[in-house]
Amino acid sequence: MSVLAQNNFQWPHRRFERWKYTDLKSYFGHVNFEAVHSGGPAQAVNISPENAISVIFINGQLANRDYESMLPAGLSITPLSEILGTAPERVAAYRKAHAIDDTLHPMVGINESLAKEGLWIECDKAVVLKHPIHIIYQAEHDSFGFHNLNHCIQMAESSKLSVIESVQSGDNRQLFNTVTSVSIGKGASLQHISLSMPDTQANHIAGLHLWQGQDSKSYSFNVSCGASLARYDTHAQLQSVGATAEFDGVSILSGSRHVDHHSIAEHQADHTVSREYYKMIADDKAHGVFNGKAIVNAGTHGVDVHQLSRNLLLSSKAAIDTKPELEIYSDDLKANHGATVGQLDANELFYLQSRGFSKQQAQAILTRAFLADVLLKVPDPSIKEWLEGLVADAMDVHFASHQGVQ
Amino acid sequence: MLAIKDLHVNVAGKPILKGLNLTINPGEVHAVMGPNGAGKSTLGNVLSGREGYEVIKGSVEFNGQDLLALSPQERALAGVFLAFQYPVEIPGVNNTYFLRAAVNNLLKSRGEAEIDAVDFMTLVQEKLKLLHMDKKFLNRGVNEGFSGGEKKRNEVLQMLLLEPKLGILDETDSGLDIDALQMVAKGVNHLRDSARSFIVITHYQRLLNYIVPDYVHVLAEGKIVKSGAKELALELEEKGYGWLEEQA
Repeated sequence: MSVLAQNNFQWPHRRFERWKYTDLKSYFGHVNFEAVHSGGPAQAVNISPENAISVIFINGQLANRDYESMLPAGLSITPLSEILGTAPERVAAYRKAHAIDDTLHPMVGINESLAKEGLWIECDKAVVLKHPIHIIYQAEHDSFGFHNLNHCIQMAESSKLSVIESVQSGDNRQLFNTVTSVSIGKGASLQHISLSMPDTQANHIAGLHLWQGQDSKSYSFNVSCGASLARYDTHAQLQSVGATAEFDGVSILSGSRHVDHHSIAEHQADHTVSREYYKMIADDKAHGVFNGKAIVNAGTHGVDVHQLSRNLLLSSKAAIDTKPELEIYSDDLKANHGATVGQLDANELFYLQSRGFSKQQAQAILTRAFLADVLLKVPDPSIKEWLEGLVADAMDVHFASHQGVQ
Repeated sequence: MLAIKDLHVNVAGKPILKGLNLTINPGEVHAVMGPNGAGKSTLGNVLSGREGYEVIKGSVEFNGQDLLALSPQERALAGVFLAFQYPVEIPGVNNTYFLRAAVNNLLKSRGEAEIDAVDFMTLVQEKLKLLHMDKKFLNRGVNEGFSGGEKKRNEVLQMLLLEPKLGILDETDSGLDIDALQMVAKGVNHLRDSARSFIVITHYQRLLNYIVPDYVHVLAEGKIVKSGAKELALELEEKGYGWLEEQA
């Protein structure tokens, strides 16, 4: 009996509105997944920005402990397995206080049941971590592997953290299901980067759940240029006055890749702000999905919502479905949203060709230019530079492999 | 250098050029004038290889090559440069990056070493000075937010950097004030030599006071209906195009 059947697990499928483009049942329903908690490559891969504090998970196991010496006083990173062993009630209490709605997020329950490892991070009041914590996922398994990791991050008042999560290895039989829950205290600030690297085919379902206190800030940026199938759910609960959440990202889709980006910003208090700017390019037969939802609760005042989804199709067989959604129960707010799907401009392409660039070069230049402004929004300069480099490399690889394709 | 023979071109199924003949020798400047709708811009676009221009009949030979068989990139690398009537704005592509990449592409195609960033800045600043252009244009997106005159100067700047064998100016004078016009002319005149040729497409005689042509041709109804020396431009300025269109 498979591990999924033992847990009475049902894959979300197209009859769930939020999963209609990403029918996991049709992708994985026939696959006999094994929950993986051992083995994997002997050699860890670590592509990180400078000075990052790397924490590497190989086949679901924590592969290093050297990060411990790099942490400032007031910041602790403990393997989830240790907390589950010594004080499981703390994990239970956190999950109860920060309960994730299973009807919206049907991959969370199975994650909490199966995840034996992850990070339990506690950041004390006013502690500022200068360098990012980089959580790296790797997998190597000779069959279909299901890799569940669960992180709980508690940020006390006025603390500041930067967290990167990246999938750096794994073939297309591997499925990562990761859940990261962050409670961001009053005036605290989180930067979160989520990445699928260009040379991995591993599938990734990633949930980022943010619980935000008064005047707290979250900035999340998602770069997807590798996974065969990726689904990102970012859900911010703006619980107290003045909380701000920004979700930005870029997806570079080629071949038959499928990336689905769903977000929810729940405005539960006055003067809460959400911003979303997401760009996708889709070539070949790739499929991109964007759904950004802002919910503005009744009785709130001065809420500010802005969403923009801009998309570029590079092939007639590629597809993009985009839907910014507003669910508004208040009449005192500022809200706007927009979505565009277009192609490269023929005049711009010809202009570049007439200056001696090939059609492929011209496409590459214009596509990079299309993505440039959203990358500029990443607040941390060294992470921004690192991401710009990764995206540029991914584009070079893409256009080099499409030489001669018209 | 350039031999256009009996060129017939359709745009969206409609005949625009209807048997155009034009021969240009190295070092010559040819002005092509004519009323609106005569096919002037079609000539520039078909020579540079823009899509949507269907050659029905005729040939174009450029330095012994069949120009019409080449892609837009190959034409550019062979030395054909079109200064656009409406230069395209490309937000997000830095002008310096674009200019240097274009120069390096050309150098690479000739098997020459690429120019490094420092040498390129020295080169480009020399050209900017000639055109009285501010350095700030280098840090903006290609033509992004440029005024009409700034865009045209940016076209001439590209021409100065790429040093084509044949420069085609498609109504480069349109929308320019007299100062900008003089700068554009200065850039073109700077490039004039015994090997390099130009086609100057214009509606008005004014530009030809500054870029003095060797020949003037009148294009009407898709053909060259009259050719002459530079004085023909003055005659056209005085009489208009009506009398020639009747002949055509």
